[in-house]
Amino acid sequence: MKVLFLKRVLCLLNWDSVKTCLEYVKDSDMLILFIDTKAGSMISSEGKSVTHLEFLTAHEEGKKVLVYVNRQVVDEFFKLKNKLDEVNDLYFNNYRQFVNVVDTFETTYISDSYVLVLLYDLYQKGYYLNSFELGIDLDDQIKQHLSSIMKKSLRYLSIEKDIQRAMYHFSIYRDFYENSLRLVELIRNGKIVDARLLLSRLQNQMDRIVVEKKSKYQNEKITVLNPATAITLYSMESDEMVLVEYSGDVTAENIPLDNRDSYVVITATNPEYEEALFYNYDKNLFYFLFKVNTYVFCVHYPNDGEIIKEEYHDFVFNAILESKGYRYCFFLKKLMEG
Amino acid sequence: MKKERIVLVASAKKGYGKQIIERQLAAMKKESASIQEKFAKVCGTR
Repeated sequence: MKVLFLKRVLCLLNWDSVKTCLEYVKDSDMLILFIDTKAGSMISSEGKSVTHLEFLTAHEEGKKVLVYVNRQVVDEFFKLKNKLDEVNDLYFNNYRQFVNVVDTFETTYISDSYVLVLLYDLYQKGYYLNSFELGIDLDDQIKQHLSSIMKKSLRYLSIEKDIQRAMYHFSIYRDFYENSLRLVELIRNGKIVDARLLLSRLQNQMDRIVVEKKSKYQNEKITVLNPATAITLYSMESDEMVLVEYSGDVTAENIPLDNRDSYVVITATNPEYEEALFYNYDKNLFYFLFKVNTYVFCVHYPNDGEIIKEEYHDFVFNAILESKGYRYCFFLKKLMEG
Repeated sequence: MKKERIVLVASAKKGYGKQIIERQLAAMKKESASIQEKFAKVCGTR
């Protein structure tokens, strides 16, 4: 762990050396700030002291910041706190004016009025101002703080997997939000505006699917379906299934409704089939079909493995229905059904 | 041309897909609530 203790005198100060200081802060895990009667060298272009800039960098980077202030300094700060609040209310959107007015404050112990500005900023950002006495060892106090930080860190470590899980959930929500919007814009009043683009966007969501047989104690992998290689879209007309559009690697054409061997016709004409799965033994390829209004979508999933035994067919169907890709199919159905 | 061997593997009636989606959503909500509760305990907000 890198801990940066800020207690130093900068004699020659230029912007490069300030930048180096800020880089050190960024590179640290924790910042321990000791504040006495002076606020450190001022950077006129920024209107802030280097110490203040370092604190702000740590704050913005979400670093742990421990603040120790000379007891007499912190006492004087709290005596002037109400006055600082009043000035802040007046000049809350004019930082430089705020600093100028604070500079006119009469202080007895604090020799640099900018210390008040720094402490006020720390206080407003919710940092606890621990006090220290000159000449009294701070080791025990710092150890206590580090110990409590360590305890908290251990609690976070205990939920590390949950944090990763939450991040996974977050990525699912974010992707679904983004991709569903991309589908929404292609449907107007239940009609498809751009079928080719719609199929292409849908195909992008039909990822690899791991098919497992879930038992009470373990999951047994059966096979893996590769990402969809194609999607075709048909519309049922009076005597045929008209090919509306396709996406991916496929050759397709209109299919007469009297072709009872066609999986598209079988799915379209059977009112019991809302979703259906067909298996092409010769190509080791699955066709997942779903219906919306007069449309039939057909997704081509190549099986990445040996020919699937019949006893495992249901597992494949359920794996598809539980996949990310099907969530988009379902969303599309709801969109088009109105 | 040789006819390909294609068989119906499985089919679902209307409402089955919705059931699966809702079951997944309920599981995610439950998991999400459990994670939030753990976070709250660690952060000391509960």
